Amino acid sequence: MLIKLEKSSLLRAVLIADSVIQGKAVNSIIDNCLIKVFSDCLEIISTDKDISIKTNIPSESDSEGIITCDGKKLAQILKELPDGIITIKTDNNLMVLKSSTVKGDYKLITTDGEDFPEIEFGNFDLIQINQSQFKKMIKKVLYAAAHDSVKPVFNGVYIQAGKNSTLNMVASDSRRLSFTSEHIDMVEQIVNNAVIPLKTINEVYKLLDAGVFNFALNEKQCCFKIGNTTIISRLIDGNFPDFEKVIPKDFIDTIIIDTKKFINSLRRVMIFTKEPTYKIIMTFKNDVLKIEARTPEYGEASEEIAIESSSSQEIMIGINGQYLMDSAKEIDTISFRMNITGAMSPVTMMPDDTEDSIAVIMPIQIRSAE
Amino acid sequence: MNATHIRELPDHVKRMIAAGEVIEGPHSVVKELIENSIDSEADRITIKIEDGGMQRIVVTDNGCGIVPEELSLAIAEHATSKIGTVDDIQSIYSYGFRGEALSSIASISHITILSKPDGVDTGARLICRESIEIAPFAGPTGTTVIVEHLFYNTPARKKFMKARSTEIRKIRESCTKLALAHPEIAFVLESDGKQLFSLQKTETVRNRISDLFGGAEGESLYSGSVSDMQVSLTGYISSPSNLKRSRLYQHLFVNNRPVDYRNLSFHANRAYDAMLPHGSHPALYLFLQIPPNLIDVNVHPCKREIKLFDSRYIESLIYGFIKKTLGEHELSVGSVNLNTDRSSDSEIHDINSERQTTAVFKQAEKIEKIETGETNSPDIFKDGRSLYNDLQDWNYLGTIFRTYILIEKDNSLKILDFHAAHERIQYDRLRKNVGQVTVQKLIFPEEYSVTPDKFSILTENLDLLRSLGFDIDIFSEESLIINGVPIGIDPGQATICIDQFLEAAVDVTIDKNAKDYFDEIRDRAIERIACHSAKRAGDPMNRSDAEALISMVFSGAYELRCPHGRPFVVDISRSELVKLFRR
Ligand SMILES: Nc1ncnc2c1ncn2[C@@H]1O[C@H](COP(=O)(O)OP(=O)(O)OP(=O)(O)O)[C@@H](O)[C@H]1O
Ligand SMILES: [Mg+2]
Repeated sequence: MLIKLEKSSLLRAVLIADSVIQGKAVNSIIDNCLIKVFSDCLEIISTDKDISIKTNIPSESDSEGIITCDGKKLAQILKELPDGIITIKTDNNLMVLKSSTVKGDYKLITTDGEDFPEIEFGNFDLIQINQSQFKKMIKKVLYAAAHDSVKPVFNGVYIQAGKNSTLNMVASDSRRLSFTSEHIDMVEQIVNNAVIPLKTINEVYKLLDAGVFNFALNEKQCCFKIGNTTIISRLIDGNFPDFEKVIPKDFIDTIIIDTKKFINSLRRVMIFTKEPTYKIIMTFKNDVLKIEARTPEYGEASEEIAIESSSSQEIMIGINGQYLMDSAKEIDTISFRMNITGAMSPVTMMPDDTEDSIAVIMPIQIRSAE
Repeated sequence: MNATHIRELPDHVKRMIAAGEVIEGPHSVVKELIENSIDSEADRITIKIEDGGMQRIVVTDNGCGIVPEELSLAIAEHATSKIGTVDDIQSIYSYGFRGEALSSIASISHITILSKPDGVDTGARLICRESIEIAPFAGPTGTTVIVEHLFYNTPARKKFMKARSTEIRKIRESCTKLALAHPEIAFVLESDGKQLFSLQKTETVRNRISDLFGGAEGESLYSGSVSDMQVSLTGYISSPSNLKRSRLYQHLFVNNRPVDYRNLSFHANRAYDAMLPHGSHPALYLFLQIPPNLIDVNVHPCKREIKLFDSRYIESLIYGFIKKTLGEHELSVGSVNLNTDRSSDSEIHDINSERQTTAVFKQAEKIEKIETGETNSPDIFKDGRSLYNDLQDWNYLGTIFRTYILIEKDNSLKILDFHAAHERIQYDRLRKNVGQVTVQKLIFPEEYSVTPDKFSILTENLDLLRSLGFDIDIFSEESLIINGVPIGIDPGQATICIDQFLEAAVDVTIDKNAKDYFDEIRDRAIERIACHSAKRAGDPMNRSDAEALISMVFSGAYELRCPHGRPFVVDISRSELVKLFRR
């Protein structure tokens, strides 16, 4: 088999494939990349059982076949070679790389591709979504997801087809929640809802760029076709809790704050907080928000910011400052709204021009036990 | 029934009732008599008991004695030579001050006192039966008190006396406590002609401990002292390698008076913390010296309890004392040396100990500097993390066997067991929560359903659960609702934590030996919850999690041992590595 192709497209495809491989299981065939050779293209495939990823790149080949090889090694040598056309010749258990500009042979050990598990990239009903729109949605919610919660649904991003062609996206670790919603044509055609694993979302996020991509969902899997790459991923089992119910609708106070000022004050005050609480006390009173932190080992800090408040009542809330920061950073308007429901009840944050993105943060409570 | 008349009780009945409070049994008689002997400035006290003290108690001292004319006053009510005015009660250094002990004993037993003061030829003998007889006595200087037929006139009391062996044990305990407080006095204790102990006069409490419990015991103790204005605390405590299986070796003396202080064990455990494996207890011999006007000794009929002017202050003093004493002796906690043959290589040993001390100082300096970022942020949101990198003085090398993290730090290779390390952090967070809880409220409250029997265990312990940081309420007849969890606990594990709490509660209920029911449940529940909420070997541990864990572990804020006392950092110094390669 003799293959001719552009080095940079192969390198990119191999890197994409390799990022999925966890490399836990030593000597396992799925630690390798699978390369399917067709007469006019290659498919670079990898899997970690939960996610499978396939990238299609143009090439010229004299015959068809399958090879697997160590993706990391292949990427390493490709990285070092100058851009341009390369040729790959397969020869028993070796693949021989040759660059058109560097005089040299690089023989990489290959294994028999027949042992690689068959991956079904099956048929889905795909809808089209704008890449930058979807990427923006992921960024707005992803930070609120848990990393390694025992409750699997918290380790993912929940998507839900809403009314009037909207797509809702939610992530939560039960301490905080982030919700965003966007209009997407034909979104009602996909299965109503699903929890997509964090790792899959991360891979997708890296690939999203400009233009549109195709998305599909069935009961067990989701599929993303982004450019010449296809990702098939298992979904997380289990029901995401009813998030609409926990987004408060009635408030005792609504506050408008300058986003930048808030972030800057918070950043300074946060220096006086400590893991794991990062405890900040917010006191709202007469159009002033006081942010305070106090940690016996470090000292204390307090700042005041002018706000616009709908109530004159004084309210004091203890909250994780890091959570406030994460949510504030995702707000892209000059000022934002913060809704207060009580000292021990959720705080919500949203841009001041829309209700399509909402962050919910639960307070922390310090009690003296007797 | 005919109407009965209200009458005042005859004096002797009143006295018998009052005596019941002072004298609980033979051990209280022994305690009162020894205290009198100590007050008389004796330097040798002999105690002999027969039939667990029920038949006879004889306490002999070589103290100042009682002048013959006053002998009958000794057994009179409220007669004392130790205080005279109300002000004196504010400055009690002697054990006695009420003038009640001997009169109480006399009202419920047959008492005989033989006493001769120094400098006179003859003393007197007092025999108190139905009436009081006084005769001359020509023995040696000092006082002998003989108490016979205790409770002969209160048969109901007598019936309730514990087994003879129990009484002997209690007598021995009373003697031991007073002997510990007075190494300058020789003590002999005999039961039915058999010597239980004979203690020579000695200079230090440590020697006294050795004489009582064996030489090795005394030598292994750490000694220390702290003082603050008018108050000082000195004493001896167990080294972490010489712990006890019971709390029997925990003694607190306030101005040399043995007192029962319920929270002593709790605060000691808090101070020993990770060095204390479950079920073990340190020995404590603590001597608090405090101006008498700051305490009230007159709150318990047996003077076993005292009121301190500020118990929080004393608790922090005790805690601080233990921490400091351990700190002075346990410099190298957490550094485990490999089992190489070091006898042949003193050089490595030296390098080692120097490195250990500097490491300790470095850690202390850094407590304030290193902090970790939120570990929860996914990889693509890495900003913020770099903030800490320039402060970092370690290098994360990787994770092996999905169990251990390898780190290069301070010129050595450190191997960290991440489950145990994380368990320690979780444990500390939960422990810190005791007294002041930080609760993370949940967006999605968790319902917890249980069987009726478990439901009732949980509802009984609801306050305890809350004090650990669980915001929990009864939801229905067989379910609870969890609205918040202690900070640092994964909300997804809320129900698992309650499972663990329940198991701890069931364990403690079954275990008859458990002393303080709630304390014990809390301790065991914290251990279980820490263990279950910590990452386990085999769990994924990505780079940012590992780095967050490392910076916490080396922040100096944590003991480098898991809650069961096992170290979780193994340290191989450069020189040890060199040696392993036989260079
Ligand atoms: N072993 C002794 N040597 C010298 N004097 C003694 C001795 N035992 C008793 N006394 C004298 O008898 C008095 C009465 O003793 P008792 O124990 O009844 O009262 P106390 O020691 O003064 O007070 P408390 O009731 O608090 O013990 C003492 O004040 C003391 O003067
Ligand atoms: Mg007395």
